[in-house]
Amino acid sequence: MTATEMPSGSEPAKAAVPAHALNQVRFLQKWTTRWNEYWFAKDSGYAFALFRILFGLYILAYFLISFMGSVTLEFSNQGIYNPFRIPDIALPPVGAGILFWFFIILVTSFTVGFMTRIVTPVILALFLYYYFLSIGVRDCAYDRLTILFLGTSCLADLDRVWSLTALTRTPGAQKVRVWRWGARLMTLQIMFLYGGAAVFKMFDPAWRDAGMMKYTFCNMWATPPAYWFARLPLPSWVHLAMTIFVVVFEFWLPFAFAIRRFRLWAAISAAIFHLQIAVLLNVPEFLVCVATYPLFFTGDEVRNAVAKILGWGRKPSPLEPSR
Amino acid sequence: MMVLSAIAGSVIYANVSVLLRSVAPGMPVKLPLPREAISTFQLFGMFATFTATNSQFTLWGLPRGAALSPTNWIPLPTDELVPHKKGDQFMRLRATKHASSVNPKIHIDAMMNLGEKVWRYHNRHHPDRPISRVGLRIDSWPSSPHGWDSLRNDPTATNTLESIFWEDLLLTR
Repeated sequence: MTATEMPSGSEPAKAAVPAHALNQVRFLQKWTTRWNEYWFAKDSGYAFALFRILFGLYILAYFLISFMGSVTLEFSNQGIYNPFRIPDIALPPVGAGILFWFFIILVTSFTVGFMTRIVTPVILALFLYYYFLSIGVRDCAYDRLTILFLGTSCLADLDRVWSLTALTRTPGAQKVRVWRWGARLMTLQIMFLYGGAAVFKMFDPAWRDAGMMKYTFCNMWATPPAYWFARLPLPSWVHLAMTIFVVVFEFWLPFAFAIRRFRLWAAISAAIFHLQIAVLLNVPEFLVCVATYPLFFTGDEVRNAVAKILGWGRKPSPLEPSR
Repeated sequence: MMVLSAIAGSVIYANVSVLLRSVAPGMPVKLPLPREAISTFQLFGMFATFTATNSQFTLWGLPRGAALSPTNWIPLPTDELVPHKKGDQFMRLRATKHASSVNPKIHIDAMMNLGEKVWRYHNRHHPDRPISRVGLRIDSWPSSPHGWDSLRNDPTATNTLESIFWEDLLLTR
């Protein structure tokens, strides 16, 4: 029945569309609105700025500590490495050295927020080059996380405040609010990481055995403090309790990050958890997760926390416009 | 907005798909996902299992002109050639990424490539004592809280040393 066939006095549009279809449209509109509100809410740029600084420092530390002394071996055509999925396109030693330091300069530029929009895709491209040429052979999760974060960073506004670029902008430009999309995506990935790890361990029989914790502390990743801990005359139920605690803790983390009142505790305890992994199992690379923690908070929360820590009080920081 | 929403939706889908595959591998219906995406988002497998055995790869070379006999192989400075922490070194010498490929030839090619690079590197830096073959040996011994090497050469421990030369897989010249 069309609108022209409607009896006089009726409302043509409402009568023409069945009620269940209208409900479906409303349902779709409601969830589309919620989706957009979640992903594209606006925020000040402080959370992104702190993420940019921490993430940049992480990549700098990772590359300088791990590879600075072995660039020729690691990335040159006279080295010992195993490309994956790409041809062997390593440069001669001099070229590899120049490229390495070019990469370091780019990451420094990223960290201080100078030309971030331009350098971030180049950093991603070079990181992918290093990954497929050499470092990806280890198949480590933290390298893939770094790639995901770099990819997301290419599409996020990271240098709105607390950056060299911001110094060249007008105060008004620094107050422009940015989409939360990048923050949402990276924090969601972190929540999947912790939650996924917990669920995976719940279903894995090895994680119901006290031996997991005991032998992890004397394997190829273990450090002297881990060996010291393994030598303590603890009953096996302590090791089992620690194993269960890790699973419960990882399961709790995504929920704690999602609930505002637990968020700070989640960030602090997860950072301690990663520090513990760095100290006992010599895998500091997972500290890359910590760089994303500011993104769980609003920009103003981050700004206020940093101001409190650095004693800025209510005054504007040296890198932001007067309010 | 549409593109960013599509990216966000894809990342969520990939994570859910990988999680379901991991916790319920026998599930009859799986959320389809390209193999590369599965390995990219499979982020939670580290320390997922344990072993009471320590293992370490070491690189070996057969001096040029020497007969192919187990006693003629000389140890190469593995820690200098692959200068990384123990776990890192193990995963590199195992070519872990290549080992996880469906096609075993990818892993064999990676080991050949590794052997060739070690052979070239050694002969370039030590032209006075060249090698003609490269071998990879894996030593395994019971782990102990008293240290990484504490039971490595203990004759009372079982399976103290298990050696495998992979000279047939690696470059032979």
